[in-house]
Amino acid sequence: MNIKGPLEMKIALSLFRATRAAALALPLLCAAQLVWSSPAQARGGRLAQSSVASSSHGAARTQRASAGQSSNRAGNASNVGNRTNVGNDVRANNDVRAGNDVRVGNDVNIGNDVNIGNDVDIDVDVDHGWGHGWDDHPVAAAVAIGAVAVTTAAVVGSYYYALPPGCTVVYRNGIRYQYCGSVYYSQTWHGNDVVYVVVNP
Amino acid sequence: METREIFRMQRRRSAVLAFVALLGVQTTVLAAGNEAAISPGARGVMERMTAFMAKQATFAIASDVTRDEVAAYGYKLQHQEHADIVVQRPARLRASIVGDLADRTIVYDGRNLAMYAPEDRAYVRIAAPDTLAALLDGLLDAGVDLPLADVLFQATEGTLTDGVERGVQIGTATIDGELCDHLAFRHPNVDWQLWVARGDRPLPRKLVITTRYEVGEPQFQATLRWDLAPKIDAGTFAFDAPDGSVEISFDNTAALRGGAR
Repeated sequence: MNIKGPLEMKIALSLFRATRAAALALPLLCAAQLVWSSPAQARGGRLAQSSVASSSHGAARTQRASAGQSSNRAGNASNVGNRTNVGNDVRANNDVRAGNDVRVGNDVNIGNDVNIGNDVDIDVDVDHGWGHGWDDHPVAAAVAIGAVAVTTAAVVGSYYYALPPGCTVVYRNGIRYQYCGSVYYSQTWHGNDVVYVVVNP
Repeated sequence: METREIFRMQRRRSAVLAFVALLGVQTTVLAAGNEAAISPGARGVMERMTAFMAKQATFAIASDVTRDEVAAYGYKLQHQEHADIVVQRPARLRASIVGDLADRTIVYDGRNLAMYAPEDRAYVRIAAPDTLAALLDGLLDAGVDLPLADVLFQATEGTLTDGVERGVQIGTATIDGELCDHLAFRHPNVDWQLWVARGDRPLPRKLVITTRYEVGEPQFQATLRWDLAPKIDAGTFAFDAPDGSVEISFDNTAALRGGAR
């Protein structure tokens, strides 16, 4: 059996391509870094469940699932939530894995959420290409958290991990808000994270 | 290799095979209930551990934790954190978490719960249930990820094996130089393994939780070092808001107080 040969070749090939893909990914990455001021919370994937006991806690499970999911899928609010689909689908179809190279190439940025966020944007395109939308994922109905808040047309009650640049702190009736563009945000603790929620003070 | 060692390995292997075989018939056994689902050996270890933990009025745990994250395209990352937890029954807790994903300080004094996120310089201070058991329950309901919640939960309520589909003793293993019983359990959505020290301090030394039905089957792993006579100073269970930090709201107060069950 000559399995080893082709496998090795495949790996070498993808690494080779990765080095080239990294060059392409860099400009995108820089753009993402400018926007994403709080990468630590914009998680890119699905975290391992950290508690057995929580499986008997319905509310927690739902919430956690949504937090993990939203965490991250974001990038822009309208696409929040559709990553799970995309990730799975793309993965199932090996031909699309070329996109993977972008990630692998960015070794420097692994563990740096900005990179993951960068993927989100790429994924969103892939997603549209494949015709999957936010609506057809059943879990997407749960609470979704965007990565970066918007400055216009925000829905009251929407959650975001980070604010866009240029927000100012304002006080209304003694309560502290962040005012971004035309939208007011209140900082709140959600599950394990500090998030911004759109309010109408 | 020594004969005894070979014997032990064989025993271990047969235990694993038995575990796998039992998993296959679990659906029929499930109807028989929890009692039948856990082998007498595993049950014995769990009971010994739980009884011993229940006797500890004050304890501290230092834990090294890893969490897998499955990123896009199934790329698996591992995040690390270190947690220091001090507990004084019936209603005091302090947890300090320093990790790749987040740093957190969680302080509970029997009346209030304070949680601080240094990267946001933000904290919450909210009225909390009056026992540790009720607090842990509330935190789980509110989606707050307290490291080693399971261990603390077991130390207070001892109901970790509720809803277990299967639990067996795999064999022995040495964790951090201490001989431990290795147990394996299956819940509907997670598989978990626990290593419990043998001898006169039957405490959990390692925990692994595997998330099932998730691409890449990400794992949570924690190793635990115990101090049963920790030094506790006056400020241990008091939260002082750091300079420059702001108090923010907690969005799930109802769940924390048990209102969302």
